[in-house]
Amino acid sequence: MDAAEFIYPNDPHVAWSIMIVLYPYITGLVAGAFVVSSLYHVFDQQVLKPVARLALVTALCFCMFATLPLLLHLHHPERAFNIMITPNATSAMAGFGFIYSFYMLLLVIEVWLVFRPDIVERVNTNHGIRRWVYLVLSLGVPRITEQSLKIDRRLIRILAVVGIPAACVLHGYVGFLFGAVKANPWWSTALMPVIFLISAVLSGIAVLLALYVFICWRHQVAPEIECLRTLVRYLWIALITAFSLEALELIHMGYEAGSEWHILRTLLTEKLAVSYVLVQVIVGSLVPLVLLSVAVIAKPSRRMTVWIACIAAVLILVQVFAMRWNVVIGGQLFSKSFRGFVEYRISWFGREGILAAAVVLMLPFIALYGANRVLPISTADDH
Amino acid sequence: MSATRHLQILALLLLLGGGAALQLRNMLVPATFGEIGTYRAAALGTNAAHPLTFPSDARCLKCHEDVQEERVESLHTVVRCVHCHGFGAEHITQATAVEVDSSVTIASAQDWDHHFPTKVDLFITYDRATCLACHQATVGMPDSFLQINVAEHLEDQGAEDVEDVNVCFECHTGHSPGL
Ligand code: HEC
Ligand code: HEC
Ligand code: HEC
Ligand code: HEC
Repeated sequence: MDAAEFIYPNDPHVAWSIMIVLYPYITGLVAGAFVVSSLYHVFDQQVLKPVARLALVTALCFCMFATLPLLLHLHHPERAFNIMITPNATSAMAGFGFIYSFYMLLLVIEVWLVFRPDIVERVNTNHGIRRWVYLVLSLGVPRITEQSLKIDRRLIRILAVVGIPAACVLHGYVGFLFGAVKANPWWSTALMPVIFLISAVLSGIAVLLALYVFICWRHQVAPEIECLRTLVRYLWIALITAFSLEALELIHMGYEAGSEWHILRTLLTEKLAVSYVLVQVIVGSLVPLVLLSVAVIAKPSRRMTVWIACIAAVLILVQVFAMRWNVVIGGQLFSKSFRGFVEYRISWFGREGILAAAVVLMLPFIALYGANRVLPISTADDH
Repeated sequence: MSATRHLQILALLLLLGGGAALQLRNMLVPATFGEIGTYRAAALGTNAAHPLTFPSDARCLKCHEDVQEERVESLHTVVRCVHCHGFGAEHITQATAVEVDSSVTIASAQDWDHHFPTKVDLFITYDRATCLACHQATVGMPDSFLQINVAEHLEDQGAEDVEDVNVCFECHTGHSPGL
C-alpha cells in the first residue's frame, strides 16, 4: 500500500532530536564498558587485566556526561531535577534519576578504591599543591597496609557484583522507555530492553578495544595480544547476539505483517535506506561479522588481528550509533496514522544541532584524557 | 582499626552528603505538594483564580434560557455558543455587574472579524463561513456527519442569492437550523 501522506496534526514535529539519540548511545557505552571491567573484577578474567582499569574509568567518564544530552534537549533543564525532588512512583523517567545517581555513586567509589594505592603513592611522591590535591583525593588517609588492601579488594568485588545488575538496569531501562510507548509499533516490543542492553555491551567492548589500541599506539607499545584476542572474541559473541536479536525482531514483525507492517517496511527500505540497510545492517553488522569471524576462527597474525579488531570496533561503534538513530529518529518519521511520513531536519548550530552533539560526544574522551593525566589509567605505563 | 580508616571517612562523607541531599530536597519540595496527588494542592486554587476566558455554555444559558428553548429540539444543542458568538468573557463580567449596579452597560454584540481564533469578545454573524467550518464536505469526515456541497445544496434548495455570504439564513437559523 502506498503511503497517502496523511499525517495527524501532532505528528509533523520530530520532538526527540539527535540529543535523544546520543543519550542511549552514551549510557550504552557506560554499561558496556562496566561489564568488561566486571569480567576482570568479578569473573577473574585475568587476560583482561590490561583493560580493566581503562574499562572502569571509561564507564565513569561516559557516565558523567550521560544526562548532558537530555539536559540540552530540555528547554527548562533546571526542571529536570523535579523528577527526583518530587518523584512520581509510576514514572519510568523518575526511576532513571535514582538508578543513575546510585550507579554514578557506585562507580565513583569503585574507581576510588581501585586507584587508592596510586593516589597514596602520589601523595608521598609529590610536593606543594599537587600533593594537596592527592591528599584530598585520599580523603586524608595516605596510608595503605596489607590488611587495608585486602579489605579494599573485597569491597571492589562487592561493588563490581552489585554494579552488573545496576548497569543492566540502567541501560535496560532506556530500552524499556521506548518499548513502553504503545502507540509506536517500531518501539513497542518487549525485546527492546534486551536489544538495547546487548548492543550496549557490544558498543562498550568496541570502544574499549579502540581505546586500548589507540593508547598502545600513542605509547608506542604493542598491545597484549591475548587480551586483544579475548576482547575480539567477546565482541564477536556480542555482535552475533545483538544482530540475531535485531533480526529476530524484524522477521517477527514482517512475518506477523500486522497493520503497521506496510509503514515500517517503507520506513526501513525507503526513509532509512542509508542509515538502516546500508550503515546498520551491511557496513556496521555484516562486514564486522565477517572480519571478526576471520579473526576468531582463522587466528591471523598479531599485526593482522590488531588491524581487524580496530576496523571492526570502529564499524561497530558506527553501527550502534546508527541503531540508536534508527530507533529514536526512525520511530518518529512515520505518522501514527500509518499513512504518511514526516521529515527530520537537523541543523548545524543550536543546542540540538550537529556541533553540540559532536561536543557532547567528545567530552567523555576529554575527561578520560584528563583523568589519565592525574592517575595511571592506561596501564601501558605500568608494564 | 586503622585499616578501615579511609572507609570510615568515606562512610561519614556519604552520610553527610545523603543528609544534605535530603535536607535540600525538603527545602525544594513546594508547600502543599502531595496532599492530594503528585502535584501542588494549592495549584488548584491558583488556577481557579485565573480570570475567566472560556466560559461554559451552561454559564451562558443561566441568563439566556430562551436560547436553550430554541435549541433544545435541535441537533444544534451540541454546538457550543463560542463558535457563533465568541468567548463572551467580558460580556459575562458586564452582565453580572449589571445585576448589582444598573449604571453599567452591556456592550452590544460586534461584527465578526472573520478570524476563527478571534479576539472579538462577543459577536453575532450570519456569515456562511461559520457554518461551513463544520458543514462543508471534507475528505475523511465520517459519512454520518451532516455535510453539504455548498453549490449543489444551494441549487437543490433553490437559494435566491447564491453569492450572498449570509445565504444560509434565507432558510436556516443559528439556534435551530433544522427544517
Ligand atoms: C450556529 C451558530 C450559533 C450558535 C451555536 C449559537 N448561536 Fe446564538 N445566535 C446565532 C445567530 C445567527 C443569531 C442571530 C439570530 C437572529 O438574528 O435571528 C444569534 C443570536 C443570539 C442571541 C441574541 C438574541 C436572539 O435570540 O436573537 C443570543 C442571546 C444568543 N444568540 C445566545 C446564544 C447562546 C447562549 C448560545 C449557546 C448556548 C448560542 N447563542 C449559540 C447563532 C448561533
Ligand atoms: C449574567 C447574565 C448573562 C450571561 C451569563 C450571559 N449573558 Fe448574554 N446577555 C445578557 C444580557 C442581560 C444581555 C442583553 C439582553 C438584551 O439586550 O436583550 C445579553 C445579550 C447577549 C447577546 C446579544 C447581544 C446583542 O448585542 O444583541 C448575545 C449574542 C449574548 N448575550 C450571548 C451570550 C453568550 C454567548 C454568553 C456566554 C458566553 C452569554 N451571553 C452570557 C446576560 C447574560
Ligand atoms: C461547530 C460546528 C458547527 C457549526 C459552526 C454549525 N454547525 Fe450545524 N451542525 C453541527 C452538528 C454537530 C450538527 C448535528 C449533526 C448530527 O448530530 O448528526 C449540526 C446540524 C445541523 C443541521 C441539521 C439540523 C437538524 O436538526 O436536522 C443543519 C441544518 C445545520 N447544522 C446547519 C448549520 C448552519 C446553517 C450553520 C451556520 C449558522 C451551522 N450549522 C453551524 C455542527 C455545526
Ligand atoms: C433555499 C433554502 C436553503 C438555503 C439557502 C440553505 N439551505 Fe441548508 N437545507 C435546506 C433544506 C430544505 C434542508 C433540508 C434538506 C433535507 O432534509 O434533505 C437543508 C439541510 C441542510 C443541512 C443538513 C444536510 C443533510 O444532509 O440533512 C445542512 C448541514 C445545511 N442545510 C447547511 C446549509 C448551509 C451551511 C447553508 C449556507 C451555505 C445552507 N444550508 C443554505 C435549505 C437551505
